[in-house]
Amino acid sequence: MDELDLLSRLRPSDENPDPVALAKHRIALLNHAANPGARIATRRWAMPRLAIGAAVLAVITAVGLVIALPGGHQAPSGAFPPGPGTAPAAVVLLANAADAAANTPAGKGDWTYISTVTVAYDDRIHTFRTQAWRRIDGGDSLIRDERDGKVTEFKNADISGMSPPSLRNPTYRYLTTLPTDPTALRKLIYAEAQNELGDEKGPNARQLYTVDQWAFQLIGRLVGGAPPTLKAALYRVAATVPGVVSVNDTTDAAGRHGIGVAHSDNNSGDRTTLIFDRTTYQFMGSASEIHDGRTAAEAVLATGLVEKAGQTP
Amino acid sequence: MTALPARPATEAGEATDAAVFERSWADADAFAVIFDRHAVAVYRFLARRVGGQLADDLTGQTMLVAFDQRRRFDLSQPSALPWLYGIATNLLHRHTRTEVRRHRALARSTAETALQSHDELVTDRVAAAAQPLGSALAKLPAAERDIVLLVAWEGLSYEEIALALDIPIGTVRSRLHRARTKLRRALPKEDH
Repeated sequence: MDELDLLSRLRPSDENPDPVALAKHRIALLNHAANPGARIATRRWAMPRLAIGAAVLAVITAVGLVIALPGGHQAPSGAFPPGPGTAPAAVVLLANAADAAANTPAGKGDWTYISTVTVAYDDRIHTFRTQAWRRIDGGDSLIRDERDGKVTEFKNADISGMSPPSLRNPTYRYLTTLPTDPTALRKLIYAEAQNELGDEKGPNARQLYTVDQWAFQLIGRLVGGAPPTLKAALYRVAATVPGVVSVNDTTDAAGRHGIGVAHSDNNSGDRTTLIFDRTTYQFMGSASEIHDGRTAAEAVLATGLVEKAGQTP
Repeated sequence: MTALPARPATEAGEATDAAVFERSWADADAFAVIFDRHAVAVYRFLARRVGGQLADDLTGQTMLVAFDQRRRFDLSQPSALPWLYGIATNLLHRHTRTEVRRHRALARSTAETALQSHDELVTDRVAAAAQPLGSALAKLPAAERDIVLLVAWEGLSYEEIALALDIPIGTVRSRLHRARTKLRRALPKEDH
């Protein structure tokens, strides 16, 4: 064996990149592509080294994960002009949404408030408005429901003692304890998605759903009631879910136009879109399309913490 | 022989790297495809030379520079990877100290796979060569080290290296020859 042979045999084995760091580079590339005049910033990011499985790596090579780190303002404001046109790539959109969410005040109080308009199509169109107040630790709640011209109020008793809060049944307080580091949050969400697919849906679940689809669903469910820093982290995790696409122009349940990021729900062609304001990147709500044409959408009109049930922020 | 990284094959119907580059002249976002195809390979190339931590940073820088220089990519090349290795190689020159330290420790960092062999004699020879080769590699001038590693660890051809580093093929040959001579001299006597 000659020296070249020996040297080849001493080739270090393949290392795998940290998907979070790689994703951050991809977003820097896209931002640079959109803003070529800006100086390339070579910031030192102190990244924890991750042990990465082959499955995750396959995802990186196939799709290109993107994530922006908390505190790092990767998306220059004004990088995307307002008005209809090509929406920024999903990953950049979600980075902007994360920045916007992180800078949104949470409000003050022991109650969460959310006001929504829901539209569901099955046999006919159902539209109803809801205002919901819930104690942050999961006790009492007050729901005001308005449909077909009738307003109904439901007061729900304190059931906080019944079962501890979890990702499936979170309280606001529980949500404030979740990690806001996107890497850690992603692990949590994917672990939960694996669990839910595993035990609840039976052995056929994995043929009907992919874990990515389930993870995106989970994120969508958590976003509406999440505290600002968690919202931001959720968007950053969403940007790393393979198969996320941007949507140019979409309408929410309240008839407002926005841009969106979408993902398939299952392998039958159902799809969920998270909708954002084109200029402020505030979360507007979500919409689901079932492959047979039926749709359901929920628009968020207002959300925040309040001192008492019945108050609005 | 260790398996050298397979060149990413373009699937039927998929645009070639050259086609993507061309599109990226007018549509900057299209360049993300190049990232998606090659960023991991670039990372691994860098990690082999300076380790994972620094490779993270340099991968990002490589792709940004690649974007800025995308019009310089020779469209007749089937893959952008050698060209990207060329950019990465240039960026590595600012980190020689880190690289040299790493090569000196080659024996300790050699992964199990590299020493795979059914022949004990081969394994022994490789193990014995690790430290002297690592030292010799560390002492090579950067230009020679770049080329010998592009051959030995990345499996690039002389043409690919010439295009990647934008140097004449003759220069590739002569630098490789000098590197190999020095490496050979460093080996334990029985391997000459």
